[in-house]
Amino acid sequence: MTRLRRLTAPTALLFALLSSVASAQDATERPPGAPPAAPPSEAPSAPPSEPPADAPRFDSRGRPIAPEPSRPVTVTFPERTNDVQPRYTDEAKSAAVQGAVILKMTINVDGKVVEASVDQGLGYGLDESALEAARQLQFVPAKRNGKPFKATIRYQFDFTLKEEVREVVTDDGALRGTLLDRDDERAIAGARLTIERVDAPTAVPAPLELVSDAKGVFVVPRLPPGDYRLRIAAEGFDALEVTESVVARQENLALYRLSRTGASKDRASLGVVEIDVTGERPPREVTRRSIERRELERIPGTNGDALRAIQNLPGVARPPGLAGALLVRGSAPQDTQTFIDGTFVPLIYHFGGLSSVVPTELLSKIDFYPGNFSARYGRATGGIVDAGLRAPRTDGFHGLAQIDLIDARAFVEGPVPNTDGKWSFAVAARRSYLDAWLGPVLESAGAGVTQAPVYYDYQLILDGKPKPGHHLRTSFYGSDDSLELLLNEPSADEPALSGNFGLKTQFQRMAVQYDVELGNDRRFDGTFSLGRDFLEFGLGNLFFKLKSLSFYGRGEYTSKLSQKATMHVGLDMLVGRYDVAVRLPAPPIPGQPPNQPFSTRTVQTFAEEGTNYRPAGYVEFELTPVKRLRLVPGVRLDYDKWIKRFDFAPRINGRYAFNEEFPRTTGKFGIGVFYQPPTPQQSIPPLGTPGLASNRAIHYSLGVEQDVTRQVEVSLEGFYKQLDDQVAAKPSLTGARVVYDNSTIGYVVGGELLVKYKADDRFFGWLAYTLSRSARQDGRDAEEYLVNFDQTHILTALGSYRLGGGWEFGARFRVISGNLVQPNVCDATSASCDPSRIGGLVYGATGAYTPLPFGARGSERLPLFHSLDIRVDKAWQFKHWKLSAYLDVQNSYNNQNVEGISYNFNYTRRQYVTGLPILPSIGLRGEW
Amino acid sequence: MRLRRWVLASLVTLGVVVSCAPGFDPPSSVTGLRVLGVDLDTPYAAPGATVTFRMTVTDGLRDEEGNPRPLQLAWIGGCFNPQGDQYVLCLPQLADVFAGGFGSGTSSLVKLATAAPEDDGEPSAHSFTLELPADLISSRPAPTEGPRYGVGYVFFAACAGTLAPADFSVSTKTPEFPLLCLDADGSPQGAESFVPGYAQVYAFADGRTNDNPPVAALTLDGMELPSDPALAPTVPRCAVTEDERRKAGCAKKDLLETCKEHALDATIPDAAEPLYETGSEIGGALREAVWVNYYADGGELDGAVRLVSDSSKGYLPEHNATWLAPSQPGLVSVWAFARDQRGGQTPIRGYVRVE
Repeated sequence: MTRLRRLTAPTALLFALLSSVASAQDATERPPGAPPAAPPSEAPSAPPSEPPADAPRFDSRGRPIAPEPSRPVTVTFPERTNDVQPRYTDEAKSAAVQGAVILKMTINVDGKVVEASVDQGLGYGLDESALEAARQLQFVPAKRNGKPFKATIRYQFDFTLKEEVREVVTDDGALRGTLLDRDDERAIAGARLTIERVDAPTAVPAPLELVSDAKGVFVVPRLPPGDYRLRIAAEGFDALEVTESVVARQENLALYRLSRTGASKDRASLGVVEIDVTGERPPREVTRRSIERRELERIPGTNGDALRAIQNLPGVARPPGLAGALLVRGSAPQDTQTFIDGTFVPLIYHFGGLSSVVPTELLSKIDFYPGNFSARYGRATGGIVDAGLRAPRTDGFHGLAQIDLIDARAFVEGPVPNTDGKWSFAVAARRSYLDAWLGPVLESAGAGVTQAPVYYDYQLILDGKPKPGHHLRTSFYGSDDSLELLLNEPSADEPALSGNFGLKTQFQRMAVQYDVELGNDRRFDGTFSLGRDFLEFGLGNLFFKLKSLSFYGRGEYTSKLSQKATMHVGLDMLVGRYDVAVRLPAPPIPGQPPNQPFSTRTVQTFAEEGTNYRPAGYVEFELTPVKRLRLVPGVRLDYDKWIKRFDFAPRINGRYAFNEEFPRTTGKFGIGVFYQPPTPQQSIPPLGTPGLASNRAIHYSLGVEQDVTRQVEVSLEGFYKQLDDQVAAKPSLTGARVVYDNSTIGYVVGGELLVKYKADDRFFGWLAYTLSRSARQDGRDAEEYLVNFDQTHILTALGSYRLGGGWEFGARFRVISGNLVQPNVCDATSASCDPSRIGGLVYGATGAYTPLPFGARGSERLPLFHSLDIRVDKAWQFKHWKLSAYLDVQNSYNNQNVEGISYNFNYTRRQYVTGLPILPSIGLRGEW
Repeated sequence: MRLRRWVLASLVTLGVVVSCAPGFDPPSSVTGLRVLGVDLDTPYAAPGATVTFRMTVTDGLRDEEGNPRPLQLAWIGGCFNPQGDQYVLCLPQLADVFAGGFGSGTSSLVKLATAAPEDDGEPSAHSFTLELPADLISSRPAPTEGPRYGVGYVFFAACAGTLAPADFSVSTKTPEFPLLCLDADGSPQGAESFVPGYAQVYAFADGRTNDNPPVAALTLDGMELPSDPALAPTVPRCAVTEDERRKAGCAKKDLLETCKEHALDATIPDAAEPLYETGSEIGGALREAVWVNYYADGGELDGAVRLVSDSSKGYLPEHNATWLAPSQPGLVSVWAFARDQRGGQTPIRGYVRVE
C-alpha cells in the first residue's frame, strides 16, 4: 500500500530577480538549491519615451547645463500584492508528484503579468496550473528611482504534498533515485529527468519530467508496473539513458553516478550502481491473501490479535472456543506452518489460543497461503502463514503502551543515534496479568493455585542498511507461558490425578535476515535463526519435558535471466537437537484394563536425546513468456533424517491477466505436490513405527480475480487436495499397542469466495464464504468418513467504518456449520432415536462404562454456529500523542453455540456442551 | 461464604467454572440395575487354566409391588485374541455362541441363570468359569517389543426381564450388543433394566501373576459396617431433599451445613505389587496403583474415587469418602471396590440404617 498525500495550499514563494542588476550565473557553479537566475539578455528595458538619464543638457542660451551632482539609482523589485494558489492537479496528486515549477514572467508598469512561460516544469498539469495562477497575480511594479518600469523576473511555485494516513491499495510501484558525481560523490541537483514508458507507450502516465532536488534525489512514488526509459541530463555531466523495470508494489531505489563531461567513457563508470528494492515482491503463489495492519488491528472479535484475523479469511475453518488452531482447507492444524520473518516458529499462541506471541503493532502484514504455495516453503501439506515484522520507524522516537483485561504491553522504536538514520530499532514487551486476579478468584472458589496462568513475550529488532543495496535485520524474540495449579483432591474419575498440575512452554529465536543486491539483476536473501524450545507438562508424578535447540536457515539467490525470466535458487535447512524425558501413562498396555482411569495406568518412562536434520533445496522460475501471462514453475527436494527419505515436489502456478487495466480480470491456477514428514512420536520407537513415508498431498486450484470497482474486488477459487500416504494409527496384530502406517488416504474439495472492499480512509471489510468437504479412508477399500473438523459452510462478513471524530465501529457476523462428532447416544429429539438402545458396556474390572458409538465416525453434525462480534474504537489525538480505547464484544447476543456433547456415566443421556458466552474485552492505548 | 457464592456465581456466568452446575448423576449413586464389578479369581492366568468370573450386581429399582425385580444373568465366553485386543470384534461371534447355547445353557461357553433376590448386591455372588485354550499365547504372533501374551473376553448381561438374541449388524461402524432384554410385553428395555458388559483375562508368557488387592473392612465414622443388615448402625437423615440439593446448585454446600458428613472408609492395607514394566532410570521401580470406588444406593457420596496407593509415592492411608444420609429413612447399602491397575479387584459391602 502506498500513502496518498493530500494537497495543502501550495506554498508560493515569491522570487524575483531584477535581471538588470543580476548577471546570469553559471548553473554548474551555483550552489545546490539556489534558484536559477535570469539571464542578462532579459534585463528590463526602459520606456522608449524617456531620454537616457545621463544624456547632456543645455539651457535656453545653448550654454551647457552643468550636470546635477549624480545621485544613486534606486531600483525596487516587483512586489506581489495578491495571493493566487495554483491548482494541484489530480494527476499530480495521484502520482504524488511534488517539486518546483519555475516561470519566467514579464510584469508591466501597471503591475500586471503580461507574459509568462515555463522555465523549469514538473509536468502532470502543474506547469499549466502555475501559468494560469501566474497570470492572475498582481504586483507593485518594478521601479527605478520611484518610476515604474516593465520588468521580467523568474517566479517559482513550490508544490508540496502534506502526508495523510490514507491507505490505498494499489499495485503501482515506485521509483526513487539519487544522482551523484562519480568523482566526488557529491549530489547533483537540478538534473533533468525524463521518464517514459517503453512497453506500453500509449499507457498513462505520459512522459514525466522531473528535476532532482538539492540532495540529488528524485522520486516518482507511484508508477504503474512496466518498463521505463530514463534520460538523465545534467549540465557538466554526460547524459545517461537507462531502462528500468517497475513491478507492482515494489519500490526501486536507484543510485546513478554520472561522469563529468570529458571524463572517461568507460561504460562501467556510468549507469546504475545498485538497485535497492524494498516493499512487496510479486507473489510466487496462486493465492496470497494479505491483511494490512489497519485491518489486523480492527477486526471485531479478535481483540486486535493479528494471527487470529486469519481465521476470517476464506478457506479457514473455525476452531472451537478461543483455540488458535488454523484449520486450512480441510487440513489438520499440524499441517499448516507458521513463520515470522521467514523463521519457523513452533507456537504462535499463548496457551493455545489466548493471544498470539507477536503483538500486532510489530507486524507489517501477514501473508497467508491456503495452498499451492511456493517451493521455498516445504514440510507442510496444509497452508503457510508468514508474518512479517515491520521495519522500525526512523522519523524520530515513537512508542505505545496498551492495557486490556488480559495483558499490558509497551513498545518503543526509533532511529539508532549517530547512524544518520541508516539503522533503527524496536523493543517491545508484553505480560499478562491474569495471575493478579484469576489466582485469588480460583482460590476463593476452592481451587489451589501455585502459579496462576501467566504469559509474556518480548521482541527486539535492529534494522538497517549498512550500505546501499544491503539490508540487514537482527531480531530476537521469545515467549513464555506458565501455569501451576494445586489439585488438593482428585476428580471423581481420576483418583491418581492430584498434586501439582503444571504447564510451561517457552521459545526464543535469534534471527538474522540479510538481503543484498548483487547487481542490477541479482540479489541474495538470507534468513538464519537459532532457536530454543522448551515444553514441560507435569501432573503429580507424571511429566513430559522437551528441550530443543534448533538452527533454521534459508538462503535464496535470485537472478533476472531476461526481461521474461527470473530464477530463484534456494537452500533450506532445519537442524535440531532434542532432549525429551517422558513419564506418562503409556498407550494401552497388555494386562491393564483399557478404560481404567488414565491416571492409574502404568507409567511409561522414556528418555532420549538426538539430532535431526532436514535439508532441502529448491529452484523456482518466474516466467512471462507472453504479455499478461506469468508462470511460476518450481521444484523442491527435501530430506528427513528420521525417516531417511527424500521427497521430490514439483509445482507450478500461474496467473493470466485477461485485462490489465481497470477493471482487471485475472485468472489463476496451481498444481503442486507437497510433503510433510511424520512426527517423532509417529516414527521413532518405542512410541512410533519406523519405516514410514511422508504424508503427501497434491493441490489443484483454479480461480479468477475480478475488479468490480476501484475499491471492490472479487476472488473466486476452486480447490481440490488429493491426500495420499497419510500417517495414522492402526491397531496392532500382536497386542493392544498401536502401530503407524501410511495407508490412510483422503481428499478435500471446495470453493472459496472473497468479496473485498480495499481499505480506504473510511472503511474496510470483506465477505468470505467457503464450501468444502474433507474426507478420509483408512485404506483404499475402507469406508469413507468426514473428518471431525469438516465444516461444510463457512460464512464471514465483517467491516469497520470510521465515523469521524475518532470513532470507529466494526462488526463481524459468522455463520458456520457445526463440527462432526461420532455420538454415543442418539439425539432424543430425532424420530429415529431408540431410547432403549444400549449406549455402553460395563467393563467388569473397573465398573466404568465403555461407550458403544451410535453411528459411524462423524455421523452427526453439531448445530449451526453463529455469532455477532462488535467492536467500538475511540481515539483522541493530542499534540504529541494519541490515546485510543476500544470495546470488543464477542458473541454479543450470547448465542449458546454447541462445541461438543457430554454424556452421563452409562451413556444413556447426553447434553450439549456450549462454548463461549458473551465475552466483552476493553483496552486502552497511548501512542506517540 | 457469601463472597464465595458471589464469586462462584460470577464464574459460572462467565463460563469459567461449570462443575457446580447441575449435571448428570454420579456413577457412585446406585439408582437402577447396576453391575458394580466383575472380579476374577486369577486376573493373570496360565494357558489351559480355568478361571472364575464373579459378578456383583444390584437392582436399585423395585417392581410395582415393591418387591425386588427378578433378574436374568447371562455369561458368554469364547472370544480369544481379537486383533488389537478390540472387544468389539468379538461381538459378531457373540450372537452365534449365545444362540448355540441359548435355552439349553449347555454350552461351556454360555451360562444363563436367574439371580436370587437374597443375592442382590452381594459381592461376587454370581460366577462363571471359563477354561482358557492351551494355545492362548502361542497362537498369537510374537510382538516386536513388550511381553508376549494372550487375552480372553467374557461377556455378561444382567436383565430385569427376559434375555433374547437381537438382530445384529455386522458392520463395525455401529457395534451393537447382540442381546436384548425384553419386558413382559416383549418390548426392549433400556439401561435401567438391562446392563451388558465384558471382562478380560490375561495370560503372559513370562508367567506373571496378579493378586486382587485385599480389603479388610468397610467402616463408617470408624465403625465397621456389618454384612448383616440386621446389625446395621443407625444415622439420622439429612432434612434437605435431593431435589432441593439439585436446585441449590453451587450453593449446595451451604444448604447442607445442617447435615452430618460421615466418613466412609475401606480398610485396605499397603499391599501394592511391583510393576513388571518399570525399573527405568527415571524414578526407579514403580508399584501398581490401587484405588477404591465407593457406591451407595441412598444418600450422597463425595470423593467416591480415592487413590490408595500411588505408583511412585506409595501408600496413602487416608482414602475415605464423605457420605451424606438421604432425606428418607430406610436401609442403605454401601460398597467399596478396591481395584488395581492390572485388573484385580475386591468388593466389600456394608449396611447403614437411616432414621
